Amino acid sequence: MNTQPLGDISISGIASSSGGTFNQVNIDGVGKIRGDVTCRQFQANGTAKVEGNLQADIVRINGMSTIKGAVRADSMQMDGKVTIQGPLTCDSIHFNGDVKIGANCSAEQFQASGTFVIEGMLNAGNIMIHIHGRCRANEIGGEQITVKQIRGNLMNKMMGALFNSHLSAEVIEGDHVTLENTKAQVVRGNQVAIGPDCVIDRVEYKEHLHIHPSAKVNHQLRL
Amino acid sequence: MEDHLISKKDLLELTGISYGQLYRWKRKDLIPEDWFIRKSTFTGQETFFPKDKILERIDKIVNLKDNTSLDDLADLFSPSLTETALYKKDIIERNIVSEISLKLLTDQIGDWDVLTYERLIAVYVLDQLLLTGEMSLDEGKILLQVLNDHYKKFDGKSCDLLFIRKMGIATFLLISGASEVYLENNAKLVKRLVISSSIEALKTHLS
Repeated sequence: MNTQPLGDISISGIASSSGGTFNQVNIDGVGKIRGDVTCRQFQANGTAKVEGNLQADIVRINGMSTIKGAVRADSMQMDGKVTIQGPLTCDSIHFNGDVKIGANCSAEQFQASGTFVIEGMLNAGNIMIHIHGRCRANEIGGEQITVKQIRGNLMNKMMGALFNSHLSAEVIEGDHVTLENTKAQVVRGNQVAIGPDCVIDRVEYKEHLHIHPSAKVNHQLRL
Repeated sequence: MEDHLISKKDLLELTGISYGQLYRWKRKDLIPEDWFIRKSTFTGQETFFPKDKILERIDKIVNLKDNTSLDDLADLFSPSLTETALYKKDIIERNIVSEISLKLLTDQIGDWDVLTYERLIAVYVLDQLLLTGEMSLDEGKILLQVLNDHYKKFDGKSCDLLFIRKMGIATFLLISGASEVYLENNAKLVKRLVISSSIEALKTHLS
């Protein structure tokens, strides 16, 4: 292994740096990294931009960040608005806010609260989504998939109606699928629960199917 | 074409695995991305797989997964070259390839002590083809040349080796995996070899 101690990047204010391998990368303010970064811990508060790939053990983002390349991490916590143009591979992803991923997203744990767009496929062992607005993924697959619509105060409801809040996907496949307020072409699973306000063209299930009265399912098929 | 593909639904039915397992194996790179063929059918979007390949792979995963971690399995199936080199005496002792194949390599690249993994794969493929009895030694030389010159360019992606003979003249092609090839009538496709499965066999041999 590398015996030389790794350096850190610390940006406070407005600055940019070249990429490389580091121990810690801390950005407070407006920071730009021109190139690929590999580090143990990547922390950004404010506006950060990585013009390459990011690989880290721990990624913590507060505020607005853009990563032009792929992201590979063990654990990722994002609060705010994050754009990742390449694929995202991570053990555990947790975010509140608005996330855009330009390719596939895979994780063991995927916990989202807010809105997201995933241009590729969302593949995760455990998927938990709290919808706060428009969410979209091409394909969703995993073991446990749970989608919940955030209810509660009047403000949330108004925002929801205003932004036409729902999750849309072409295909959703999992062992246990529980959906609310979701629009999908096909849902396939062993145990499927289609909750309120869902519009699903076709449901294929193996063991159990429950459909809420306010949901609309065009075709259902037990395999 | 339909015979060679199996839908995800049928696959799960046939093998008894669940959606979750299939997705997990895909995440761990046990099943390559290019095996997932998406098509629109009248029942909505469906995913299909190359039937023989996926059944063989799932059979292997199911049999090995109790004793081997998924990450180790991923290494085994990965077509990329690991940074290993082998000494000449190891290769002979462990009887990985026949002496005839080794001699052919020595003729081509001169005397050597250590074989890089890349070269080892070339010799291994050569050996496999020689053993089938469909290829002559002279043709083997062309094969080695092709693999030495061009295999690197695939850079870990899966590729197939085509051995074509037309009126007694042999030639070799390396093409990216799973693509379709059509030949003129006079030419004969002697052998199509999936390099990644050779690598898999070689890795099992080595470990």
